[in-house]
Amino acid sequence: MTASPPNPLVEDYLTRLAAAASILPADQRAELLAGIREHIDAARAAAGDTGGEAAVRSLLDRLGDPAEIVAAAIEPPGSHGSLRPAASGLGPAGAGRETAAVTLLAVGALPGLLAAAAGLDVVLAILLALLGWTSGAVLLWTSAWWRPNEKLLGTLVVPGGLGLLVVMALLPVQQCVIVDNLDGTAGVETCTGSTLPPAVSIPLAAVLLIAPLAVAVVLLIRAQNRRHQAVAVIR
Amino acid sequence: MEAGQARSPLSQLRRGVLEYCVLSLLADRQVYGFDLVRQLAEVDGLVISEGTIYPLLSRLRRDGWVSTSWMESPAGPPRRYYTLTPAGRAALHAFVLEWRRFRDAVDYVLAKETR
Repeated sequence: MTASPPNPLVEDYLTRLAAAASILPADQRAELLAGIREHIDAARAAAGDTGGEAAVRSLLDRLGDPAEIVAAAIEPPGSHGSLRPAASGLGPAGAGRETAAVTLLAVGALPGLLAAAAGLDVVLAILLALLGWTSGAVLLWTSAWWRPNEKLLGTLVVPGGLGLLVVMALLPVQQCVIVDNLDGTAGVETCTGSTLPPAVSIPLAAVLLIAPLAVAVVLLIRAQNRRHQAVAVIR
Repeated sequence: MEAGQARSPLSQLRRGVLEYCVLSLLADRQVYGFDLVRQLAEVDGLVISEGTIYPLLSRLRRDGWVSTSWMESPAGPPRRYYTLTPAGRAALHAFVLEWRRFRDAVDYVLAKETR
């Protein structure tokens, strides 16, 4: 668009706006003036300056009195606070949901797995473990405080949370038995279970320990930052 | 003209509600400030002074409910575009639920007046 030629009505309007806005902090004042000037330029460019003076007058009329615009910038009592909703997770009660989501994702599978180690029926124990972690995942995905990519991160790193580490520890260790033949010759070695070489299992265990905890901390910090922003507005 | 409207019983209410109308227009896509004002102004009875939307946008940005980005325009200076943040989305969602209850309650009571 080509810049519209300076118009005395526009310049007068902007001068009055600048004067009225002198009570605002410098950055807000500059932002307001730049925004209104940009609006006027865009409107005049869109109209192609067809209507001349009458069009400019009508444009400035619709923008409103400079004093009124500045009044809207200084936190009018009616607009702030009175209509802010206190519901839906903006209040302190809502903060528990995010903490619960992150906690369940990290350790929700543990009670079930520990019960399995203590001798609970395996199927029941697995169901319990799944229930714990899944509840966390549901809370994560139904929360408004995380972006989709963060939800994906929370779900995929690591499914089951710390539960996967416990599963790894609970897997039967390889045991080999050599039964000698009756005649004294060496028998066949039979092995049960399986095991990973330490070069693999130790780094794997470290990742399975650190990754879910790191993701939990990141998710909590992000949700908390956003909540603080929103709550600061309400007050 | 403005003085008469400022005395309107709805002016305080309008100011409070307008910011959620802004959030709602940003719910699906990022919008150029001028287009946003034009869209709001086209709805009859919603905006009295178009200029008051700019301080409102500025406040929403400072509060972290919308974010802004500069984008090149085909001609002329870069334009400021506005987008909803996750916190803004949550606030909008909460408001919509409360607003429906409030609107229905007012309509219910006022209906007695017009019967």
